[in-house]
Amino acid sequence: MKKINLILILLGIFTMNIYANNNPKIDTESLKFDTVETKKDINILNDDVFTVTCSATVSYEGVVVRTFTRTASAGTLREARTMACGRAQSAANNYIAGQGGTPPTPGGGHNE
Amino acid sequence: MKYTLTLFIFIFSIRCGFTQETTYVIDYDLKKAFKQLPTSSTFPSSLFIQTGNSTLYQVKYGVTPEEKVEDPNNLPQGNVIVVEGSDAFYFRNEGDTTLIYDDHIIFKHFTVKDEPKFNWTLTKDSKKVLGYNCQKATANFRGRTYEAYFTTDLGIQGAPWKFHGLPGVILHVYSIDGVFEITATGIKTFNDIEPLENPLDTTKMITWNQYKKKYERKYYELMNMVVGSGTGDYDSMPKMQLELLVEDRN
Repeated sequence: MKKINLILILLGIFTMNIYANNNPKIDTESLKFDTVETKKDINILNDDVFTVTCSATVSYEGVVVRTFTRTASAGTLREARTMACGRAQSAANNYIAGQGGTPPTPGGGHNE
Repeated sequence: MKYTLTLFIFIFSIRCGFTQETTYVIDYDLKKAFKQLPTSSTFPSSLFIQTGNSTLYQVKYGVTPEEKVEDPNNLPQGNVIVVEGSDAFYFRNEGDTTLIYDDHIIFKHFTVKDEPKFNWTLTKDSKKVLGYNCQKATANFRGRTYEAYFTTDLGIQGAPWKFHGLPGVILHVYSIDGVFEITATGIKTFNDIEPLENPLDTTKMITWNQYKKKYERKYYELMNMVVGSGTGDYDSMPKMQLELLVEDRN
């Protein structure tokens, strides 16, 4: 008699467990970054000064969450571009690192 | 003994009573292609429609389309809802206009209670999607114009994301500006899935208007922030995500 009681109780617990395990639960959200991109606008003030504005964009779950725009001037176009884009990229990377993520390589991740 | 037997029958009947629903599982590819980004992103997603019950739309942000489970013989028994940390959900009780979903402002997530309204215009255009006859409908929704193809062949109603209100199931929908597109990739039916339940934490739920106000506050906060050393340095976030979130101030 006692054995049957025990078996029935165990069967009941087992059934409840199946029901509980089949219901979805959300785990802790993990940060995931899709891409960082740079865009450049070149403005030549005169023959001696090149001004470049560069943006680094951070996206998350496929949508743009933040854009870092930085401007730099220099004697050569290459120098101005390197400074502006370097600062924009650096701001984006620092931001991502501050959120607990790893900066992706441009064009990397799971984008098409 | 009598008490234990009654208890067991009670537990067993609860379980049996909940398992005989027919659930339609429609798999989609969800594509976002924002012009500010160099590439588009595609995520696998699934819509669970339970006849006489609820709908649950799940987007798997942590999974690439290549990683999707495609083998129909290798599906988990009893429940096909495999949940990961990076998943987003949209849950609606049948007949209910309220949609509950997960959304984020930058990286902070919120459970949002929303009542999205679509004034669909049905057209005579049609096409076949996955072999099903689909009729075209159009609607404007929060800053974008959408064209949707829905089928009445399945005898059920449902739609992915926030779409709602068509007399069938949407199998293909896209914004005409090319930013957003959801395309059905497969349809399955199951008889052994538990009743769909809201998987989201509703204890700290906010309304759509509260969400929009929070986003707007963050947007202007960032706009007024002084950053960097040079002129022309600024940080920003877009006024429009999939929906228009910051209205122009006159």
